[in-house]
Amino acid sequence: MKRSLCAVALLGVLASPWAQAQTACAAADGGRLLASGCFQCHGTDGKSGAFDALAGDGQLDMLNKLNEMRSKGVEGNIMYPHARGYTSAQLACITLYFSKLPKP
Amino acid sequence: MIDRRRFIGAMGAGSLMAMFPLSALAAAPRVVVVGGGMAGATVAKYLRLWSGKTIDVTLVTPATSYTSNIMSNLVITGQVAYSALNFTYANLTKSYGVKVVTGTVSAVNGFGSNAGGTVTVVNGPTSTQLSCERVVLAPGVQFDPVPLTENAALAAPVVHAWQAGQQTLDLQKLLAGMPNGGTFVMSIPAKPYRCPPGPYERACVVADYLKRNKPGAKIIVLDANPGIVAEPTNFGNAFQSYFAAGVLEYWPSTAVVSASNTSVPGRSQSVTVNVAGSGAMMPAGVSGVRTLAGDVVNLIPPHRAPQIASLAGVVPAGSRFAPVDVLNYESTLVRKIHIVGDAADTTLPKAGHVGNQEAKICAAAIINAFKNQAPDPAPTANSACYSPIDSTRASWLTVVYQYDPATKKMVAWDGVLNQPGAPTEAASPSTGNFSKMSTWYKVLMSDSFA
Repeated sequence: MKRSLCAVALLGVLASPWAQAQTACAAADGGRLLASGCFQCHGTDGKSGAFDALAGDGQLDMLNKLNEMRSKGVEGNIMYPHARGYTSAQLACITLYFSKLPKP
Repeated sequence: MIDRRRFIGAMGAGSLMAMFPLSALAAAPRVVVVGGGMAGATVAKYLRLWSGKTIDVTLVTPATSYTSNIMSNLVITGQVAYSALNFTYANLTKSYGVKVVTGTVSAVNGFGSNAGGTVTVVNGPTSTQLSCERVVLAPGVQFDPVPLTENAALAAPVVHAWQAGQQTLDLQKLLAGMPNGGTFVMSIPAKPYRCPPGPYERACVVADYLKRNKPGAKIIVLDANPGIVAEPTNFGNAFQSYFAAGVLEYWPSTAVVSASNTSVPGRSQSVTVNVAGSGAMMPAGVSGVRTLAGDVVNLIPPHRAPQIASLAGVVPAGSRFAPVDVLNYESTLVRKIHIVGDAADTTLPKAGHVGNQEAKICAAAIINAFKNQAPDPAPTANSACYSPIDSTRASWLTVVYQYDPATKKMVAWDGVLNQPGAPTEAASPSTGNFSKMSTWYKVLMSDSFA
């Protein structure tokens, strides 16, 4: 119990630049269909062994990375413009879905 | 041990009985998927995966394996092995329990207001009727005949190599056999067309091949579109560089009128075109009706949804493709028939990567429909596509599409500004992108077929 409280506090500190980031997901399927748009490159359920595997990663960690990508220019890395295509609410659903899956 | 297993089995059956009435258990909903390409394989997989294998799924395919259009342009230049395009359905059966039936579909009957319908499968002398509550058509495309080429006795057959398979190997052989100083003529149809195989990508890798292997040879690109449709910066720069090297001419707004054999010695075919455009990469004074001879003539005709879609009643008279509701990919003309992939009439690109996503949206919606639930009201789709520019460098394009409730269409979107957006292409082609292209291909095919 004590350990999980610490973890929550630590995540809060790490996430401070994006403290306003939305983390809740209202989608009826918990974000599965939205997240499935990532499967083509990150593998079914984000279990790719090629591009980054996403299954089981921390939600705030993924959100921070995606928000950083969205803030960059559109060129350079395919994920910069790709991340821009989604709304904040959708990114919350996508990252929540992957965070709840077991690590590959 | 046996007793305990029996006991658990009885417990399991008992609790299932308590949850579902017997009639529900007896009637697993059935879906037949017609076509085993990117969209067909993906919809079969995800119908099983996401329903917890509670939906009975039969995949009907004309061949025992799929030949990928993605990467097929590099088979034409001999860089990638033909076998790298081959994907079987074994994993769909083994991992997900998809039933696979080999044959062609001759009829789709009874859907609409009825509880279900039938799909007639023909394999040689055998004809089988499959009953199901819903059918998903993923038949790809068929190509318009090119005038004067229909009669094989009078004209060499048109090699489009736009449906990977034997024609991919035919074009590889024709390219390898081209003489030094020869001419490769290719045409690009007006959009929408299937991509990959990308037409501008093909022009680039063929030009690169000619530059390296066939001194003095060139490719003439006849484009029915007024300019480069996809990745205009990277393909435009590549075209300019190949043009400067004397290996490429680009004729925009040029429509193919007909094609035939020619009497010019050493030239196998000629093509007659109507040139309405002009540009810096075409010879001066080219306009109007022209006839060109080529050592290789690679015409990519306009596409339409295959005949089975018309027979099923999902293609309106005068239309080329099947209109669908992009929330569930159900036909707007016949209920309980869904169309995914290149045969569907949507604002999305006709790409395997996109067909895969349409299939997932469709699968999720069908699973919901069997539970009397509405489809996801705000689906997204995306295109991420790597394209070779030459034998070592590749570019990419990416775009995310959002559902627009006002027009009921998928719209390219900028989620930061929350307004319509546009596709983005790589800043420049690179060897790093060429390597990532192989990774993309591997994972995408695995998400569709394994």
